[in-house]
Amino acid sequence: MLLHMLKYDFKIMMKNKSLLFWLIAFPIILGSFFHLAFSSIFDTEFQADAIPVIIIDDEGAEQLSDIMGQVESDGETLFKTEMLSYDKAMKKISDNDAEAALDPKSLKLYMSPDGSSISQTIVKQFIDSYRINTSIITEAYQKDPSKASEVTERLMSDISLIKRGELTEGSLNIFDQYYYNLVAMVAFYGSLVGLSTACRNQANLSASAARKASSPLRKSTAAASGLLSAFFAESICVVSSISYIIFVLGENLGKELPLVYLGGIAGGMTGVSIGYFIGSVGSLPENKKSSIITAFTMTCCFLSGLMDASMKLKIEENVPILNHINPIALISDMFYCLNIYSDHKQYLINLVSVLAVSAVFCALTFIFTRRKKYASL
Amino acid sequence: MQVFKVFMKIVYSRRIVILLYTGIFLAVAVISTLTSNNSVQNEFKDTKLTIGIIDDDNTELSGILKDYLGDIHKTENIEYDKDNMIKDIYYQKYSYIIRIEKGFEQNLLNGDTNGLIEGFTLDGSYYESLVNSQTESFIKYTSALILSGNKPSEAAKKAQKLISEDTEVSVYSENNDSDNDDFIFATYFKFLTYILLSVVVSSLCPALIVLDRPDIRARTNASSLSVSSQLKQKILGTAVYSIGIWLLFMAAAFILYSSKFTSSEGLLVVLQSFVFLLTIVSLSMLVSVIAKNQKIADIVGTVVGFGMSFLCGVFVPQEYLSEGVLTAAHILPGYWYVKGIDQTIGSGTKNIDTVVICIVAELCFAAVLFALMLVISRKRRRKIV
Repeated sequence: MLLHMLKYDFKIMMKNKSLLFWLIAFPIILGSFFHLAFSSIFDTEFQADAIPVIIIDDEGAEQLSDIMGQVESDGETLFKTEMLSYDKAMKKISDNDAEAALDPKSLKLYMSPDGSSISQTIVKQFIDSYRINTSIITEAYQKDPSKASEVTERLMSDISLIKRGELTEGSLNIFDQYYYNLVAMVAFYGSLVGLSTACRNQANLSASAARKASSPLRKSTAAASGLLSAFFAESICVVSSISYIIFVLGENLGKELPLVYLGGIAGGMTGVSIGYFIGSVGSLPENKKSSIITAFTMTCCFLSGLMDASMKLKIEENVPILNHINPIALISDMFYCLNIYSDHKQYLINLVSVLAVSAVFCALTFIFTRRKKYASL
Repeated sequence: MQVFKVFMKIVYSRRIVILLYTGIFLAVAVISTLTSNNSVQNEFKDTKLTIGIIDDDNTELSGILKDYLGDIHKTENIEYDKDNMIKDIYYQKYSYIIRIEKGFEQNLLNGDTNGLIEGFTLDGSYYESLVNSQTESFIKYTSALILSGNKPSEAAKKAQKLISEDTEVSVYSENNDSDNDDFIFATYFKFLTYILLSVVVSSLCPALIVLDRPDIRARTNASSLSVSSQLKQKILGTAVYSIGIWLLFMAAAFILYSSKFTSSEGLLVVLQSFVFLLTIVSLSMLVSVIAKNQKIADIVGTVVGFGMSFLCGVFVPQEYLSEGVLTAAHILPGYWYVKGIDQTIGSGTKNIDTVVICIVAELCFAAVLFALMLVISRKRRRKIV
């Protein structure tokens, strides 16, 4: 009987087109939008490319252009210089085709109004260095000419005072957070699957459940088949979302694929069990319960960083307990741990936490629904 | 006015959705107005980063270096804790973390300058280039000044004085005098793309779908009401509702940004938002003809709303979008609306000719969507007849 019920519960779920859209198509569409919109932000905002600088064609321009062309950072040329007349230079920076223009005679800088603040600071930092080096060397010549060459050598020498420290082998791209939260959202949308399954078993909420209640079918069998089919359907949705994000969009959800899928499926089970519990208690109609779940899910997503990736840290600093009880934060944290940490300790803690939440809600559902009787239907 | 009354009743039944979207949008607009900081520059300011410093050396020179970094950036002393450091860099609490290693001062005085500090940040970022260059320059100046006969503390002070004598910098612009108020005003109107789409599509479509249902239309046609009168009432309902919603957002904009709103550029932006409203109304009418029920209309509305907001420069500024995305976005009305606002009052260089092209493009979209709606609707009616 369980297998028979399982088959039909699963069939019903797979025919619910609206649910399938929100659980499979919507995350795919939203993930694609994230990918299209965010893929170049990380490079534009954080990654260092050669900074375009115009040298105004005047006395000393060639020499300065040569010096700037030789400056390197991390093995890459730091500046991309071009010599132009004053008018052309001003037109270029006004159109934001270059970050800054430099007058080689007075060392005055003209910045583009729409330029990147950090790139322009780097240009100014370089010109400051050029000016200060000249000043120190002049002072050394005036003070003690015998030491002047040593001072010049020291100033011109390449020093590597700062060595790069490695914290993790994983990606530190904050935009990955949006994908973690997207998968967590799909997992938690499992609560809608759980809710619709539970409402189909609530005799006071649906006609087919009333028919079921009057049949000799055991309540535990109906509940178990509903839950198992919901788990299975939700797992398909989570796996398809994760696969799309990893294999089609090429985004990073963590290093070990089986554990990524396991985390997503466990999250989906938590969503289903919470939705099943909400659907099994109280007499509110399905659409009202569904609105409550959607509002709750979106609030949890917001607090976990689906709309603003830095939100989780703000919560961690001000109300840390929220991150420990927010199911979406717990699920998305699993992917963060897999990406960042080399050991699985924190991942396993989160995995056990979401599975424990799932077990608690399943148990509560069975307790609330057993021996439930209706005076009139 | 039976049709008009029913139209308004259906729209009224969606009041919770309308209130939710409007309330959240206006709350965010008020908060961002109250907490705004300078996002558009008229004078150049050095970028200040937030840097975490771990000082394992605790000597005079390490203290001087910390003071120097504290002068040019915002610094915080932190403890070495790998997990917390990863979190802080990942979530951008600190743009950079430096660890001054034990023996820093001793090595520096001995002339050894290699690898005395460990730096943690996003690999290959601008932060790394900037802070490394600033720190290394400061240490170079200090050690060069020590070499030329100054005491370490004296040398550091001299280096700091030389650094503080700033290079002359000016921000050049031919025709860009945007300030922060312009930026917030432009942001408000750009976000209207998403809000207007959500509010108008989610309420207009149900009314149009219900009134266009074959059974209801057949019943209305059987009444004494002429077809042209029905159409006029539907158009009146659509106009009253959509212009009403638009006026609500314009009133809020007037209260929040009255001086910008009444300026010539502000009024041009208001005009563009009205033209964009026409596009949205045409789109809603088209969706109501294509969609079989409200659920499908909601789906189309959500996807189009998110799509236009992500790809046209609402959620992410157009300058951050890749060339490919921007080229593809040309076929969406939102792209022209956002571009028009940027050219009128945003951070971009202003060009009135481009603004006119953007307005014409939006009008073309409205006309094409409306024509498409008429063709599909006529075909469908013929099928039913």
